[in-house]
Amino acid sequence: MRILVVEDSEKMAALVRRGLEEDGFAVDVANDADEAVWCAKENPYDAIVLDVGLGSASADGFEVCRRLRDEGRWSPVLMLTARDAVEDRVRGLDVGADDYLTKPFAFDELRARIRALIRRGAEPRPTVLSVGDLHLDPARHRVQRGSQTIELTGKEFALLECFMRHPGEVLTRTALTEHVWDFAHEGDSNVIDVHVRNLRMKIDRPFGRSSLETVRRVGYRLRDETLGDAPA
Amino acid sequence: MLVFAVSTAVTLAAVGAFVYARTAADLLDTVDAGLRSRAAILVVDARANGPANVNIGTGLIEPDEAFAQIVDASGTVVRSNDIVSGAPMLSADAVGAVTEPTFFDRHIPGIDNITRLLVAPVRTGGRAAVIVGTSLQDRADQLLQLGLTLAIGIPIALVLLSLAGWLLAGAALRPVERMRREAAAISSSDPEGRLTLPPADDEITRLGATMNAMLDRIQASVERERRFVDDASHELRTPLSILKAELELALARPRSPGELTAALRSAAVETDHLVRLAEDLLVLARSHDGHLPVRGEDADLRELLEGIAVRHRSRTVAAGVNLSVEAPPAAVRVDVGRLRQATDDLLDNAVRHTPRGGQIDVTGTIVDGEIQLVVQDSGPGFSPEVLSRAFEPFVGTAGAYGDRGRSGLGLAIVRVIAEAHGGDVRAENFPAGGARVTLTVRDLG
Repeated sequence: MRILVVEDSEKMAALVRRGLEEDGFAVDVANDADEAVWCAKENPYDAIVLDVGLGSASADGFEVCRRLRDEGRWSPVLMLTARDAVEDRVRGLDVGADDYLTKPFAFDELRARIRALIRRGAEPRPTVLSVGDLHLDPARHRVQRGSQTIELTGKEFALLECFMRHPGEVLTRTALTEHVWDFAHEGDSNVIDVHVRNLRMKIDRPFGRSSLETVRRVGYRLRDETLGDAPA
Repeated sequence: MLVFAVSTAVTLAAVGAFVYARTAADLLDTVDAGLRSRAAILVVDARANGPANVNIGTGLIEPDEAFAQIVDASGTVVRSNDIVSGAPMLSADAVGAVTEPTFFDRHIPGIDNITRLLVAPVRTGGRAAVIVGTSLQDRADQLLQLGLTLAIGIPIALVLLSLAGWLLAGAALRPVERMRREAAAISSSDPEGRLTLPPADDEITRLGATMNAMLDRIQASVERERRFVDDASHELRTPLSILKAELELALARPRSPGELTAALRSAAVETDHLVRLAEDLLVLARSHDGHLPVRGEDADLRELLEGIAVRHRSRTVAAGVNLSVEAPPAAVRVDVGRLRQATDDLLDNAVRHTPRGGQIDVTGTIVDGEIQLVVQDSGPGFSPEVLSRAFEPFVGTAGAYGDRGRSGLGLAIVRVIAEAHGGDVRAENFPAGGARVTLTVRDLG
């Protein structure tokens, strides 16, 4: 397993590298933001340990993480920071980091978290979901068609997020109910139909689209219209 | 409010009493003037035609209001208005005693109210006299009228004034009450809150503006403190995490003595750094209370600076920088330890920013009992964003960890040492390049 350690304090970087190498990891060290982005683009790391405070105001760890995700690099990122304010942690996770550890940390915990991240793998995990020109940002709770923002209710939002996480797949009413409603919900699948109709009124009708299709006797499917017709 | 009503009532009552008394006196004057002019006419008539032939009705418009009698030298009434014809209005003795025009107030039978009489002798020394009189009924009626008006008007005026005063005071104090409520709502969790100022430019607006300015200052200082604590915890965590990682790694598996020694050395370096940081933070914390103690010691300025230069020699030589010191041999009284610390920090800073082959000049002078230390280097100078805040804690140290032995508090400490000596410190850039820091301290002697 190959790991990239991004840390501006050479001593800290050397320690982390030594500790991880003793566990059998292959470790590369980057000391600044540009080097980190370059390394991560050149090599498919199994995990990246990223220090937030990189000592340059223009590109900190948040910026490195954002740039990596924008470049489509999905290596799991563990952020390390000497600051533990809640807003810092939230910001880190929302720019695409997968985990967060505050200095000073226990080395065993660092190892365990890295192992957990490696188990997840480098699946694409965009912070903003996109299907065609339809975008959904769960962190900001915002939906856009092209550049136009669409207001959705909580249930509509949850339903759309469900569709956008499985573009092109047919989702049964049961599956949708399981993902969007809790146990207290009475299993009336008609509710799904009502919400889907409302969703269509907001994301399709005003734009002359029909991306949310009914698949007779099965359920619904969100189609990426920019890709042409989806296979039946 | 009660005070206002009572004082208004007293004032109104005094005004009412004054008006009443003044009117009473004026009315009497009017009556007297009328009597005098009538007496004068009758006297002239009596002198010309004899007391018995006086035309008693002369000049009377309403005979029943004013009346006259003429008495001759024997005291007999020789002429009289019908209304008082029955009896002399005044006893013969009283008339006889009058040598010049004199007023009397008498009850005359048949006349309502008191009658005002004027007795005027026809000739000086003679006993014949003219007596004119008039009832004071009109005056009494008018005074009664006035009294009634005042008695009704004053309480009404009092009520109206009190009401107006209450409304005016309420209107004037409403912004104060609103500002009080806003001030009560401002808390440390919402330091952005400010008082809404009334549009008028009056004392209340100015009070509000002053309080807002005070809130601005408090907020700025709270934010400065918060930033300081935030930065300080960040600066503490970095060496602590290195120390922790170093020790954990050393203990993670059996190590050779060589590995263990290396780990302990590294841990010792981090510990030194932490110690220095803790000491620096302590100095700053004490200075925040204004209790950084300075202890005056006698020293020689030149020896002091040369001693500091000697201690930095190995560093400047290693950095390839030339250090020169210039100061007069002068006896000074300063806190030697603190001044040495301040100069150390300034030299640290200068050495770090001066390229190989550069020059650092330390100059000590004494100006008006103040000791001035100037440290000038030939480096690139302070960057613009650092220059204005050079003496604030942790400015320009973001990510500078790795610079060994640097806490990021050096220049902040220089400033508090200067201030503890009753002096100050300034940073400037030379147009030709290079930074110049001037430290001024008062001689404690």
